Amino acid sequence: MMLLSIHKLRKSFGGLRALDGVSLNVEEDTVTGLIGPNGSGKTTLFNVVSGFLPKDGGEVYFKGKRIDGLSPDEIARRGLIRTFQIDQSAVEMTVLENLLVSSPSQAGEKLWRVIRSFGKVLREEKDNLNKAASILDLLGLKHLANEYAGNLSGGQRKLLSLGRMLMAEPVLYLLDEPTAGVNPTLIKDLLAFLRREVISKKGTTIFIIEHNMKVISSICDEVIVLDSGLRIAQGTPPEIQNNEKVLACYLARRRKPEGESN
Amino acid sequence: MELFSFLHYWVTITAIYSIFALSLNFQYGHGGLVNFGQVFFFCFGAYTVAISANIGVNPTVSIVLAMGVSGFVGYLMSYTARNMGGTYWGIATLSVGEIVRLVFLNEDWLAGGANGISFDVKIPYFATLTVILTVISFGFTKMVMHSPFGRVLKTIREGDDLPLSLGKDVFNFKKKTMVIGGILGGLAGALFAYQKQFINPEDFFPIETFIVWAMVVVGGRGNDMGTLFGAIIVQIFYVGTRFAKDFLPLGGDTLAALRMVVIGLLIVLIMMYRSKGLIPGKRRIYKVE
Repeated sequence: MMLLSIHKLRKSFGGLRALDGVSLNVEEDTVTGLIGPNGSGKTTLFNVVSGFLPKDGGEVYFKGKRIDGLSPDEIARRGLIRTFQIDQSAVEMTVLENLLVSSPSQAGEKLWRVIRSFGKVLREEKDNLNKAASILDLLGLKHLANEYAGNLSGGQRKLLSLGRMLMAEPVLYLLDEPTAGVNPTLIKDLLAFLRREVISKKGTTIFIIEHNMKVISSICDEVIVLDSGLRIAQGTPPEIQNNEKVLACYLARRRKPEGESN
Repeated sequence: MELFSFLHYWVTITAIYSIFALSLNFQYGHGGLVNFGQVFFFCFGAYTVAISANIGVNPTVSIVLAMGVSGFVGYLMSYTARNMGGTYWGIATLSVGEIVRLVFLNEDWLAGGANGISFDVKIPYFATLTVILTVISFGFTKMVMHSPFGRVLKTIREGDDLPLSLGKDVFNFKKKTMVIGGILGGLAGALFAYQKQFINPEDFFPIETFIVWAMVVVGGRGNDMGTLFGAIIVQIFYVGTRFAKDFLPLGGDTLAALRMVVIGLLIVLIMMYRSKGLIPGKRRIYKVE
């Protein structure tokens, strides 16, 4: 079954057509990679799908229901959670608080329930605390639990954003460059972690933007290539690596005409 | 005896402004809503009490009414925050505060216009009551900030994107924040009216908003204890300068002007040397097994 279906999605910024009628599908229980040269519309696609940017045209279906036009928080509550390319951790909160807040629809978020069913709120807090502690253990951030998220390194913050996702338990993970700016050793750990804790679990689907082809070929079942706001190719990682259209779209930008200096 | 009546006055006014400062700290310190028009909650609270006291409503009811009116004003104001970001919204609130004051100034039929409105209803043990209400307000904000609701609020303070991406209805949280801030601000305004027994539009100049801002900034944004501390310090300067004319060879007008200079200087010094306030916001430490 198609978990996420996008039909002829369009989005322009002034004269720039970031998404030019792109259509694609993400199948349930798979890892789908999204690649493409800079400015090809990958992050815009994520922003429109997750409701952070209004679309200009087209349709988005998630679990068979139409979600375009819904607010980002409503989309998230339906089980589609995204990470950001630029870290959005709440820096004035602790690592643990960052995780605790990510737990979906907590009773204690409604003030009258804090007063009316105080016992339930407390029990929920305890459960969330245990869950957060075990996630911190997995991420190797336990010793930093009560540290401000703002004091973490870039790589640690990437881990934290994954931790927030685990806490939120989405149906579909939209990961926007989870390995950008992370050192190679940590990337290996991160991938192992993703495989062990997310991919191996049934009912989780990942849609991931990545520039690192090693990452793509090691975890993706399927790769979609965007260029100028259009899907130009789709296939398994080996197929994509030998696809001429894909090579052309990457190389055309880099190759300089002969005789031009630098 | 004079010292006693001064202390009595100082305690009352400090308690009232503490509640007012707690209301701003709840919105700005905890929720990140930059409200430069906090005085309109105060204004609505005070006028609700003055008008209802004049038609013979009993004090308890009139205070509850004042909190309700200001809370409702907060609810309405929150809709302007829906599509407006931080500072832009701050400017909008500043103008709403002025509009409210000008309406009360020019609509004579409503509450006496520029002549103000007076009433003669006294609450027994008023100073004690204000202190008790300050403690209750403090406990209430503490409780809210300790709940998961407060945690989401702290996340919103740092921007909408993260909470939205986690499925939190950010606008709904802002709405509740504005209502709670409004209720507290209205309570402060109501007590202010009972303390003065007479209010006029001059009590609600934008400068009042900035005085509470000074309290929150000096005491420590996002820390309720700090806010109370800031309220006490700023009130010492504010009220203290009135009495300084007995000791200093300066005229009353000069001193009145000087006290704003002193508070301004205080803010500058705090910004330079303790930018997070005298008692900065604290993180909550959890035990992790």
